Amino acid sequence: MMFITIITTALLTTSTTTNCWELAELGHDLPQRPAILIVGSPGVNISAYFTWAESLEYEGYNVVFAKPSPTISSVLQAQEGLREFGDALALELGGFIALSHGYGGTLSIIAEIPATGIGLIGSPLGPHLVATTPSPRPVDQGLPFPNDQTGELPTAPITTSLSRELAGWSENTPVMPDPYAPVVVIASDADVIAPPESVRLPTTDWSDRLWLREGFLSNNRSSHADLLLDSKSAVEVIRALESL
Amino acid sequence: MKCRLSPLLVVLISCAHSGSIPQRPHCIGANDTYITTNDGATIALHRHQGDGEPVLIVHGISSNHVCWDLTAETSLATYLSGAGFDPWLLDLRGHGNSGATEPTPIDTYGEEDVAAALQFIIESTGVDKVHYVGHSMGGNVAIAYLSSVNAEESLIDRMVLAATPLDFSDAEPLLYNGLHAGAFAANMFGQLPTQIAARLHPIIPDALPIDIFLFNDINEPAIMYENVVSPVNPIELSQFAGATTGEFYRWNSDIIVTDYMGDITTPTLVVAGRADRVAPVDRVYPIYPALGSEEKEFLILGVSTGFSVDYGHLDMTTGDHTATELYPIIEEWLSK
Repeated sequence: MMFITIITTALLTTSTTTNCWELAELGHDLPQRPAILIVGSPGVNISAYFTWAESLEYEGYNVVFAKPSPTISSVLQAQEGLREFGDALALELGGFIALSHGYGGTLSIIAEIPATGIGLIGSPLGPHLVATTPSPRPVDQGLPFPNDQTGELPTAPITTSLSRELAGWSENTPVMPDPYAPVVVIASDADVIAPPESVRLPTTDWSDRLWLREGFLSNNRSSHADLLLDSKSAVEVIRALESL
Repeated sequence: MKCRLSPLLVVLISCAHSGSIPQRPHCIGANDTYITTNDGATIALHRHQGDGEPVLIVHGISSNHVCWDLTAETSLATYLSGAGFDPWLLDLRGHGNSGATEPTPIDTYGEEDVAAALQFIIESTGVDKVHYVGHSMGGNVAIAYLSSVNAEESLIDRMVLAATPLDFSDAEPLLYNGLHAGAFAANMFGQLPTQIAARLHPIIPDALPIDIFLFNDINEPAIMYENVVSPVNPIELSQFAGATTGEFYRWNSDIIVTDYMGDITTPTLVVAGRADRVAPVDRVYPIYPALGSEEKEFLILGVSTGFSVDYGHLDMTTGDHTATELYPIIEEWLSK
C-alpha cells in the first residue's frame, strides 16, 4: 500500500490565548489504533516527519502531529500552549505517546506534556555545542558551560526572539522536570546540536527512563538531521517504550 | 578460584609479551630508569631529557609508555622536549618495561607508582612539582594520587587528563557486557592478554569493530598495535566494570572517588574526543565539575570545535593529527 501523506488541520486547536499549536494528521486516519503524537520542532517543516510517520504507521500506530505555529515568539508561550494542547488531545484520544526530535522534545518536557510515554530523539536538555569554532580552542571555561562554546541554533525559519531564547539555553538551561511517564532518550555522538552530554547527563536522575546511544559501534553515526530523516531511531525508541 | 593458563596460552602470552620494549630510533639518547615503589614494585621511567620543567606522562589501560612516544613524528615526549620541557614517561607496574606484578587496583597505581615517580623526578631535577599528562586510565590514576594527598602536599603542578572516563552509568549493553565479561575472563586467566589480540589484529575480521572502538584517525595502526598494547589485569577492569553501577569506587571500598575530587585544586585541562567510543564526551565531562580546581578547562576534540577530525580514544596519543593539534594545546596548558 502506498503511503499517502495527508496534512489536515484538525478541529482540535489550542486556546485562542496561546493558539500556537495545531493538530495535523500524518498519513492515514486510523483512530482505532494507539496514538503517537509527534511534537514538531519550531522551524522544522512537517514534511521532515513523513518518514517517521510512515514507519510508525507500519508499526501499528495512528500518527498525529503537533504543529508549532510560526507566530510563537517565546518559549513560555510554546510551553504553555503545548501543555494545553496536550491536555485537550489526551481527552480526545484517551492517551497518546509523545515522540519528538530536537527542540520539540525539549518543549515536551518543560511543558510536562500529559503522555503515557515519551520518546526523545536528539533533544537537547542541557548545555551543548554548536559547530562554529574556526580553530582549536577550549570550549568550556566555566560552570556549567560558558558563552563561547555556543552558537546560533538552526531556528532561522522561526521568529528571531524565539531563536535567541533557545540559543540562550546553551548558557542557562532551564530545569528539566522529571516526567510523569516512562521516557526513552536517544542521542548520537555525531549530533552537534544535541550531543549525549546535553541529552544523557541532564536525565540521569529521572525516575523511569531508558538511555540509548545511537550508532555506538558504527562508522555511520547519525547527525542531528539524520536522526529525523531516517526513521530507525524513531522505531527503536517506540519499541523500547513498548518494552518498558 | 583462578584457572591455570593452558600451555598454548602460556606460549602465546610469552611470545606476545616479550618483556622490555626494544629501543626505537627516535628514542636514541633517551634513557630508562627503574625505581622501586614503597610497596616494593619495580616501575620504569623513560626520559627524553630536556632542560625545562619536568612532565610525568602516563598511559592508560592495556597500554604502556609507547602510546605517548610511538614515532619521531608522533611522540608527545619528543614534542615537549623540543618545546623546552623535561618529559618522563611512566610504565605503571605490569605494563611495558615495568616488571610483572600481581593484579593491581587503579588506586595503587596512583598512590604508589605515581607517587614514587613524582618523588624520584623531584629528587633528580631539584624542582618542587611536576606537570602531569595522563591518557584514559592514566587520568584516573592521577585522580587516585591526588585523592590520597592533601592539596598542599601534592607534587603535581598542572595536569592534562585526556579521554579519562569517570561516569559509566547508563552503560550501553555492549560496553556493560564487554567490561563485565572482560573482568570475568581476566579473573579466570589472571590477566586479559590483549597484546595477543593486538598481534592477531591483521587477521581479525572487519566484522569485529575493534578499530572503530579504539580510534577514528589512525590510517596505519600496525605500529601502534605492535608496540603499545600490554595485558589487562583483572582488578583494574573490575573497577571499571563496577563503575557501571553509576559510581566510581576505590577498590574493595565503599568510598566514591568523586566525593573526594572537590578537594583537588590542581589546574587541570580535561580533554574528550567527539568520536571516542571508550570514553565518550558524556563519560569524561563529569570530571570537570567534580574537580575543585579554580583553574580548569574542558576541551572537546572534534570537527564541531575546530579540529580536523572527531577524535577517537587512541587518536589523542597516536592519531594522525594529534601532534599538530593536541600536543601544542598540552604545551600551552603546561606553560601557563
